[in-house]
Amino acid sequence: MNNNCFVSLALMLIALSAWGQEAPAGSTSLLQKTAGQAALATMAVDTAPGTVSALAMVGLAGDQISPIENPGDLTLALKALDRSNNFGLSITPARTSLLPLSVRAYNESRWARVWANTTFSFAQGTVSVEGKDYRQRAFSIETSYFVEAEKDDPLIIYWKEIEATATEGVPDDSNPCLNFTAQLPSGDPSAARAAVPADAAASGPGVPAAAKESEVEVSNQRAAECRRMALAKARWNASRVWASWASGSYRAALGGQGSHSLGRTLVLGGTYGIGDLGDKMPAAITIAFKRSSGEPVLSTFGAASPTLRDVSLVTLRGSMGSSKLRVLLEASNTHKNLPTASERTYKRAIGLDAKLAEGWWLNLRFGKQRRIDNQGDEVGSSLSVSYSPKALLNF
Amino acid sequence: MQVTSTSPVSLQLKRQGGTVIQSRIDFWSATPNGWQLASSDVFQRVTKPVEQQSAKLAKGQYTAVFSCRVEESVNGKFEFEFDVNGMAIYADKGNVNTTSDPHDAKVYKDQFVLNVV
Repeated sequence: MNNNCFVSLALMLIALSAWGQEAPAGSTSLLQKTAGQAALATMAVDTAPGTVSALAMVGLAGDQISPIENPGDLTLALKALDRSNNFGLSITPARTSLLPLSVRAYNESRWARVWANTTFSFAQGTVSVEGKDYRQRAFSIETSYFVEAEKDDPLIIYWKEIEATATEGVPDDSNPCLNFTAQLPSGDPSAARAAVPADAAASGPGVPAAAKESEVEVSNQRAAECRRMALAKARWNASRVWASWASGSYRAALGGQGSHSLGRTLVLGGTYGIGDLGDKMPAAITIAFKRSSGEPVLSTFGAASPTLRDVSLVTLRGSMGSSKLRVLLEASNTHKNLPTASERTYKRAIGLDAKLAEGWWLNLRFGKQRRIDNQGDEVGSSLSVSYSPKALLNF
Repeated sequence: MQVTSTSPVSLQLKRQGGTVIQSRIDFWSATPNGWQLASSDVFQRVTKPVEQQSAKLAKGQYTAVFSCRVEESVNGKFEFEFDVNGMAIYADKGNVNTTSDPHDAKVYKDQFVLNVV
């Protein structure tokens, strides 16, 4: 998408959102209503893996989480605690040097891929409900799995792209997935003929010399081009299943009340991709089941004994479009009970998702949902920027 | 470094870890007109722990240029060994994941003399 298209789209989304704010009496803009009360991102039905996490439970933004890849990262993240109370940590053990998983295992074993995509998270932050601040803490475990890995898993697609160049005969230098073209020796040919180097058997294996900076640059450029080619072959509507579990607690930021549970949330979901790459209008159907137990009702957050609810939510989404822009229809079984902290889901909605950058999405939703005071339904809109942590799929 | 071998020359790359390890070896003859490429072998089957090739070369002396790229993928851990006729010539291991860049990489380029008898 070029810049002009993107700016036009953004303006259109903002205009639509503003129209939602000017809805007649009885319809409250979600943007207005939730200002300072709840994370806007939690209001849209976002069934992307990773959104029902410790991060989402306490309403932190994606850039406030520190992926832990080695012990040094953990030290840095914990040091940040001294300066800020809002922070998040996520660790995907198989992707770290702590419990590393091999390329071979990932490629050959489905269970290894499930483990490779299993992330543990912890987050804490402050949320404001009806003008009062609360400190929240949560932790989660989540995982996901590409049903058709050879077609949809970016890592495997990339590796296969590289392996496809390993053909016999003269290598095709024009293919960037062949990382090295013929490399000339250093030194003069006449000097090479006269030299009598030491025998390898005597010297044993050695660490090969590092390439020159210019050679590294060429290698990096070819690898980046190969990744781009590989990624272009991955479907946006990948068939995928995922699961996550989160739990947390909160307490008033000021005052002597003890802590209360934020409940426990289990999410199971799956996406079925319709159409392959190159098809005119690929689509995806996503279904997600969310079960929250012992979750406090928002309006009773400040009570000594908050009202707790067990909520089962099923959302269904159909989306159609491209990897950068999608139109979607959503429906859920949102009930008539008082909405809880995590349950600000549209009953019916239409929307647009526009990709801003890798992992970052602009979400527009327009639809019907329960009012926060539970006095009937309301029509509203929301415009939000969401982040799907992709520490699991560094691609 | 010098290696003596008969033709075909057996070449082997062993790899381990969560990185993408791809390699290439080019055999060059030194001629009065400069370097002349005699043969090349690529090692790109990045999901295989062992990859073998054989180079058919005429008798003579060659300068073999070994290139290798280790790229962070599942994680940054790596270990590789390059053998000629079963003899380990190059080896290294470690962790290339040193920055927040998801594609940290290490690139090697070295050379040795191969005498084909």
